[in-house]
Amino acid sequence: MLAARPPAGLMETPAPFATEAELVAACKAGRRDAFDALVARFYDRIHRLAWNLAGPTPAADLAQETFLAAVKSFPNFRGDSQVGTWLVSILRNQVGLHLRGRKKWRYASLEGEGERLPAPEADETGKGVQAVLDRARELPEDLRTTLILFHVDGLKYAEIAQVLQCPVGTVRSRLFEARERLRKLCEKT
Amino acid sequence: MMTCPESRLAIDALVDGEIEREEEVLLRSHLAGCPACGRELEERRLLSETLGRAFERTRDEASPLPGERERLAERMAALPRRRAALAGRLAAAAMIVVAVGIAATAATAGRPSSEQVAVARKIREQATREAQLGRLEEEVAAELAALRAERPRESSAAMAVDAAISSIERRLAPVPPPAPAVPGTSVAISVDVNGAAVEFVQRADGTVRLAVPGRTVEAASVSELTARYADLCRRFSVEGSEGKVKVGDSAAAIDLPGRFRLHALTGTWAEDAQWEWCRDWMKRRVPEAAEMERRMKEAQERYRRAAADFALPAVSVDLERILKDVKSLTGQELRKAAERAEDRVRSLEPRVQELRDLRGRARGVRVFAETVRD
Ligand SMILES: [Zn+2]
Repeated sequence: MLAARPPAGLMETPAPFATEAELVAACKAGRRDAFDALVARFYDRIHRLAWNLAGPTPAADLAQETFLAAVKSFPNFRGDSQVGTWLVSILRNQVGLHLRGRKKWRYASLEGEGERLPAPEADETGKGVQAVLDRARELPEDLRTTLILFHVDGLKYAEIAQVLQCPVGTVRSRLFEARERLRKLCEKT
Repeated sequence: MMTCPESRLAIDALVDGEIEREEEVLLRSHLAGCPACGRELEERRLLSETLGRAFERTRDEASPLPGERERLAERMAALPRRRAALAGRLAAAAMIVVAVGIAATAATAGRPSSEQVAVARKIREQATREAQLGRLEEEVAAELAALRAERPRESSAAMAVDAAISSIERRLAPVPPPAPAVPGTSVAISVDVNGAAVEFVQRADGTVRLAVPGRTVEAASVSELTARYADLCRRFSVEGSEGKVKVGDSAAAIDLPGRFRLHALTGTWAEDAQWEWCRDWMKRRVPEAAEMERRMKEAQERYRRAAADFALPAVSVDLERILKDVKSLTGQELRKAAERAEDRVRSLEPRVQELRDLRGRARGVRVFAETVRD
């Protein structure tokens, strides 16, 4: 079941923090209105990433845990990356924990996750696009994560390197390998 | 001049708008003379577009449902201010029923069904785990504080202990801070393994590169390299820890202070460096070999005993309180709540293990610090 969503842009406007620096300073000071603004500004983005990284069921929990962890560790935020990128790093850790937890137990893949919404229309291009998405789920985790950070979140190589704590060259070669494998996977079907 | 494999890598960077000026010049000149790579460029452009479109189409599906932000706002409001007391954490844990996505209405009277009790138990398990996690975090922090207070004064002993502290701290943080950039190389090995040229480098900032014929991989540390590329490392006999690596028959290592520095930078910690240092330290103080070995054994035994305490903090969460909220749920909501609780417990498990492990290690290092204090 898909509940109606308020159209983008009509959400309540939070207290204005004109610059990111102001927002960060207010969050560091533990101000509630600043946290609300943080959520208003980044929640959709983090949720979408969580959905793509871990699947529909845990997406909301992961997004929420990310913000709760951020609130707790704001005092440690040194400002050497943008807030958005920092939140993505936290999410990435949460997803890592989540996936490791799953592997230990009974679920091995994202298949069979309940409540997947039916794909929209299925015209010819639609089918091709859907096939790519399905194949993307079969990639190893580090390749898939890099691919999603690039294509879903639109991060630059250097930002992905920050999030994944690896050299930029690694980001580059992972993206290359991810696409290479995707192409082969798609050719097979 | 660029080779075709190099050009393939550069093509992606070009398509992604991430190519450097000089590289672009090289690529363009290669493309001018190589129709195969020219076709590849078109194909990669198409693939990249398809990927972008594919993910774009999930945009609506992947967006949050209404009410999620409000739920988050409630949970944020329930967060205890700064250093959380256990009471605060338990209060937050008791709000989990709200967190599972239901506005809890007034409790329905009457005896709970067995399903309700089962669901409440699951939620209690989740709340217990979350509270235990909080307690574990506090316990590790307390061990670290004590360790800092007891830090040995002798500078090389302090170095060993500091490396342990910072490696534990990095893993304790929700997001480990990025390691500072340090120029230079720590260890480099260039060797022939079964007829294949293998090149290994650990840079001064801890990152590593392993090049074998046809493949080059990078990692943030030696332990990440050997974990992520286990097969590759096995195939080319690469093993070791930060600053001390063996490739085939060739081994290279830097001195212990250097290794401790790498451990501190990469957040990894190898016990062997600690004991190597300890042995040196003891040799200088206990000249008689048998006696020294006895003391070493004794120190290692004490370390292991201290590190092997895996008891979870005792936490109690009131089932009645949760049951009251659970009773207001409909059948479908009940199932969802149970699923979510199970899922959450599962996802917390690795962090619980990790924190238990870190606490043990912090305790062990405290014992070690005691051993080498003058
Ligand atoms: Zn070529």
